[in-house]
Order: sequence, then structure tokens, then C-alpha cells
Amino acid sequence: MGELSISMSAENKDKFTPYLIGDYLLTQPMTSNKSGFSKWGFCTRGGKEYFIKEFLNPVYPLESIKLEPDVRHRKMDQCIEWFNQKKRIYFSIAASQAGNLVPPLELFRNESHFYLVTDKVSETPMDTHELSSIDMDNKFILMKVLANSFTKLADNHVVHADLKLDNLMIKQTNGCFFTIKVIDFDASYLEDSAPVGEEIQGDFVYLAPETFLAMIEEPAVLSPKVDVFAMGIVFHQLLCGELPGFDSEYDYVYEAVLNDAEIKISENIPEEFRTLIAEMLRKEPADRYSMRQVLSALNGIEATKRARQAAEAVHASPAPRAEHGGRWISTDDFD
Amino acid sequence: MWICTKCETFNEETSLVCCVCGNRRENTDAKCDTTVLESNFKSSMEDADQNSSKKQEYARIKKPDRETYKIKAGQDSADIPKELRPDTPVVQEKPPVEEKQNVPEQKPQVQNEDISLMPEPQPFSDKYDNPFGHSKKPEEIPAAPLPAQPQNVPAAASQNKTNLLPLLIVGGVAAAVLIAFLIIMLLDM
Repeated sequence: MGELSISMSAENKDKFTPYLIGDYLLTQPMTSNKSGFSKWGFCTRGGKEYFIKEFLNPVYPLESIKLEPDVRHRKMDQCIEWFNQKKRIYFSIAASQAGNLVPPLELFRNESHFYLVTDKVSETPMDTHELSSIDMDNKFILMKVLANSFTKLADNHVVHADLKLDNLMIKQTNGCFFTIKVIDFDASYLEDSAPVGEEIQGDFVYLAPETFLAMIEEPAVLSPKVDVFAMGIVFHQLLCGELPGFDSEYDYVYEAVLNDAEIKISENIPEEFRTLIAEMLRKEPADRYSMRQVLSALNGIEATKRARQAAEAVHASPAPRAEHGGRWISTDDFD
Repeated sequence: MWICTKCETFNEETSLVCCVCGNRRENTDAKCDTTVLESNFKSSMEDADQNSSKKQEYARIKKPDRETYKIKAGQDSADIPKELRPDTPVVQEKPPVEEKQNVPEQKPQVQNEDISLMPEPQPFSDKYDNPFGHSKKPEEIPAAPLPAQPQNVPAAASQNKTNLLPLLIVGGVAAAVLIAFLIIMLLDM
């Protein structure tokens, strides 16, 4: 009944007739907004809402379509290879779930197209305006959530490859706390089967230097350190609302890094984080921090702050320290 | 495993504080099982359009259930679709006829229909009984006259033919003009 009422209202509103894709009822027309090689929309199954994505490529050769046998076999082989590759990545992502990834739930074929279903995330992507309203405590938690989620991905040799603010959904949780949900694993790959040349997807703003080299088919090794570079830029935006600075002759951070130009990390960012971001934006992947090192560095910053707080508390008053209930860092600490 | 209510991170069952935000575990924290999450991911290359359980469900709803058509005392079986009548024997599909090669063509033999597979004649319904005890047989019921076909309306096929005629004339004239033009051209040369 619930599905029927949804479908009726959608039909009346937008003159769109809901239809079934496998077991999922598409309740709104799909859109290709902000998606390169796919269309997406929302659907329902069993009264629950889901996000659904239709891949525009590859297209499965149906029996009803007349094709030369060799063309049919070639297309079929492409589909099987693509499907098995996606399946392998999606299993690894599902295995990396640490609570804040929005992993794929189902990959299936319906007639000639392939579809991916994930949970519907009702939250919105982060923007710099929203970020400015979040206090330092919460920003630090967001950074740790990100580092923790991506450490799990890196442990399973998964490269997200499209880490950016648009793919980070900010969610208000218990009371006034915030967390992040990581979405969009379309560009993802496994370390042992990294794409080359034109197969590589990603956003130039967050692109790692080695990804660009791989794009132009120069020798480069793509690993989870690609995500570390992007996360360095995200951390910079998170902490001061801006991208890292570089000479105006460059358009993107990776260009400046590849040409050994200076990357200016904002003075408004506390020193500990500036050091961390600098380590994350190193040109050579071998010199750059790993995701686990990023998480350790964040834990180190936290431990230092706690120790400083404890020392200050002892110095200020000999009385036993009151339980802080998890509030281990404050905005003032970074001033 | 338990989920932190503050940052929604999964934590080990043994830990008392969240490994990410340091939030203390509460009794109300939801439990989670990562092995379930891992196995939650499904994938299939089979055409979901064919296998859609929803479509099958809709088809089942459309097709009336035999149970709903059980004849109650005094109910008329004529209202029930023939194939769903409880007394109707199930007609088994005949096995596919194997194609014979290099066999001279034979006239098809007329085979007797298996009488046991024929539906049993339905008992005469009470529907035709009148309160005076006089029973009307179906043959006695006058057949409803067929609706008269309007005579002024031309048949669709003939209308198509009349539509083609002007096209043929125009085409013929055009062809004749073209041939004449070609002849003139040849003569000029």
C-alpha cells in the first residue's frame, strides 16, 4: 500500500509512471545530474527507500537484438569482465564497512542494463558554508571518522579514487554531534587492478600526482595513497574552508605538486594539522603518509592534547580531575 | 560489535569507548554484525526483469486462486473460468513431435482424442429453474441477435486500397515523364 501511494503521488506530480527495475519500484525519473557514466534515482522495495544507479556502459547484448555472433560474444565478454570486476570491488567495500561507508547492496542486470542499489542517504553533501558552522571538536571527529573508514578500505586494498566534499554526506547524529557518510564508489578500484589511461576517473581538484601520470600513461603506481592525497585537501577545506594555496600559474594542486611548486597551507590551521596535511600532500607516494599513519597521527594529536589538558588541569588545581565524558579537545586548544 | 551513537562507527564488543570519538558505550547502543553486512551484498548477472519476484507476485495476484473459486452450495459453476473449475481435468501437454528426416510425406492420420482428457459435462445448473418448477434447457433460451454491422462504413482493407490508388497514378505519371525525358535526351545526343 505504501508503495502504491508513493507511486500515485509521483505520477500525479510529475506525470511520471513508476516502473519496476527487478524488484525495485522506481518512484522518480532517473537523472544524470553530477554523474558521468550513469543515471541515478530513488526506488522502493518492501516499503524502504533505496538509491539506484543505472550504468550506461556496458550494455548487455539481449537475444532479441540482432548482432553478428562475434560482436555478440565480444560484448558478452566485456559485460562479464566488467561485472566480475565490479563484484570483486563491491565485496571488498562491503568487507571494509566500519559504519560510515555507504556500501553497495546489490548489483544486478535488468534487461540490457546493469544497476547498483545502495541505502538511501537523506543527508546532504558537505559545503564550505556548513563546515564553518561546525566546531573544532566535531571537525576533529569528522577527520577521525574519515581516516578510520579509509584505513579499513586501504586494509582491503580498495582505492576510492573520488574522495571529495561532494561525496561526503554530513549527518547530524545524537544531539549536536556530526558524522560523515562516504558515498560513490563508481571510480573505485582494487590496488592490484588499477585502471590506466582513459579508464581513470576522478576530480581534478583532488587528483593525486600519480593519478595524473597514470592518466597520461606515464609510469605510476596507483594505491590507497591516492586517497591520502585527496584527504589532505579535504582536511584543509574542513579546517579552514579553503583549498590549499599554490601559484596562480597552476589550476590544480596536483599540477603544482608535480612541478615541485610550493603548496601553501593556511596559517589559520593549527600547527599539528598543518604538519599532517603537508605529509599527506607529498609528491611521491612512497614519501606520503599511509592511511594508517594518518589515523595514528590524528590519535597522536589527540593524545598530545589530552596530556596538555591534564597537565594544565594539575597545574591549575591540585584537586582530582573531573571526568570529561569524551570531550578531549576544544576549539581553544588550537588557538 | 556495537555502533557508537555519536559518530556511528562500529566498535569491538570488548571496547567500552568508541575507537574514533571516545564516546562511552551506552546500553542503548545498537548492536551490529559485520559478517551480516559483508554477506548482504548480492550480485547477479541473470536478467532481473525475468526473475523479479514482484512481477511474479503481481502475476499471481492477477491469476485467480483455485481456492477462491470453490463452488459453494447453490453457487453457479458457469461463473467460474473453465480452466479453474474444480471438476475440470488437467489436460497434459503432449510431448513434442520429433522431426523425422528422409521420410516420405504421409497424410496425417486422424487420431482419436483421448476421451478421458475431455472435460466432463457440467451438471445442468439450477440457474434455469423457475419458481414454478418448470425447467428451461439452454437450447430453449433464444440466442441474442448479433449486432448488425453498419453497411455504410467501408472495410478497413478496402479503404487502404483506395488510398493507394492516387499514389499509383502519380507514380505512373512521374515514371512516364522520366522515361520521356530520357528518350529526348538520347535523341538530342
